[in-house]
Amino acid sequence: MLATHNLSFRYQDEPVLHDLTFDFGAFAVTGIVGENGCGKSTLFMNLNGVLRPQQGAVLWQGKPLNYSKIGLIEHRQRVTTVFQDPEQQIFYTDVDSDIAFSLRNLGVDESEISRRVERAIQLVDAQSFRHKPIQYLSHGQKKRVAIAGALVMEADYLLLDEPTAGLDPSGRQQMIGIIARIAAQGKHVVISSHDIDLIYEVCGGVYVMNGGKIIAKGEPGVVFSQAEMLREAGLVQPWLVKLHSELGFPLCKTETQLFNALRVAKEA
Amino acid sequence: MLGIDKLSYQSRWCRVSPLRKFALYLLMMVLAFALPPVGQAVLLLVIAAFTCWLLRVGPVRYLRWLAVPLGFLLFGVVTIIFSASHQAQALLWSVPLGTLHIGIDAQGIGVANQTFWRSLAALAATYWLVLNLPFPQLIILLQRLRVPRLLTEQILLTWRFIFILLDEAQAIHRAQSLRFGYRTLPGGYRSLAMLISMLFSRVLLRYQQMVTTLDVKLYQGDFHL
Repeated sequence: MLATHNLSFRYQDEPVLHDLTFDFGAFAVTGIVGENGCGKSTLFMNLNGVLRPQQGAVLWQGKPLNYSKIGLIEHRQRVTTVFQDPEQQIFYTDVDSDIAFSLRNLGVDESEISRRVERAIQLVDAQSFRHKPIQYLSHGQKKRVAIAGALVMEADYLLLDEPTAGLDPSGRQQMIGIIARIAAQGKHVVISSHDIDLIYEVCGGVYVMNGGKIIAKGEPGVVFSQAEMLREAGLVQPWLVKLHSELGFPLCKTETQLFNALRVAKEA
Repeated sequence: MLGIDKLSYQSRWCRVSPLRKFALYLLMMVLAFALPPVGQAVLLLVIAAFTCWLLRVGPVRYLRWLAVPLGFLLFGVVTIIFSASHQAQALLWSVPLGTLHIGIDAQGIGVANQTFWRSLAALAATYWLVLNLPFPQLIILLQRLRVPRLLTEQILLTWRFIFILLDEAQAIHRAQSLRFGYRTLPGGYRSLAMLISMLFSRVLLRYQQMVTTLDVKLYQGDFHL
């Protein structure tokens, strides 16, 4: 169980995160939304132990994180991170070696590595381009390689920073499928994004952050119905929620659900 | 973008073992150095045709690649042809320059002829290897040849980051040109200076990001080639 307790973090004298308490174990997919610069990425760096909070703590199974070298290696096997920019996290020129990188760092044996790489590639649907040199992959394909590089750890928690930023509509749709498949395996996913429609559709629970503080949390349907609070946080309501609150349409989680509900209503 | 890297993946011999390819390359090089000029010319033609066939590219494209070093080569050959002598009779053709005669002598032509064909044949052979050896195979080859690990890792990372840097430089350049940064010569220099300093700070930023990512991916000082 990954959580934080009264976590505060500042860069030198500039406070970034204030007194944050998160519970990422409550839902399979947890979303964190907020405008640019609200501290989402800094929070992720705290969660994976790259940055260390000055006050409060990151908790694993209720215990504060151990920041020794061994403690961090252990923690990063349980909590893996995918950064927003795939270029930042791909070192090799071929897909397979890059995905296997963290496993080789741990000294996992090669037969196990190839089994896990195979699974990760299937999960992100990268079979069609796994033999292409990385510099000729599209942005969306590189993003999938980066995710596969984290999935091979088969960790309990996956942190995804802006998974849909810069993707085309079909790439975005694929990403939603990938997130659903990961969650279906019983893993926890934490997504930071300002793609509010994505968060609404895939998350079981959301936190809204503004200026380094949590200003709302709960189920997406409830949180996103507070239009005024979202405006303050520099966000807007998801379109499905808007249809509900403005026009009285039924509150649905996905487009398909809404259309089905409307079709039923029309036929009746 | 460097299309040359992409080409090696469409080679008919893409999956042939790098060691075999390297052995053939060595053979080509030995021939390129040992054969007489006529043999070297024939070797050049054979390698060129072989390369075009393997890569499925037309001769025009191949000649264009060859044209780049050809300029340097011709320049070098010209300086070999000409020599200086105190006696005009020693030269086939000459112009006097003070007490000296600058001109062409028979020996120079011979040497130039050899140099020209040998260089071209060796160039064609090297092109053949580079164009048919995808990057991961080059790494395998370096390992088999027992090149120090540190150097091989360096080559791998450099190769990867060349593309990132090129992309960034291109993006900055494009953005600058669209805003008329290269309209005048002084402006162009200023823009170029900006591009370079920006690229430099981005490299530092990339480095920081890379260190973070390596940390998260549990890097222990080894790249597992």
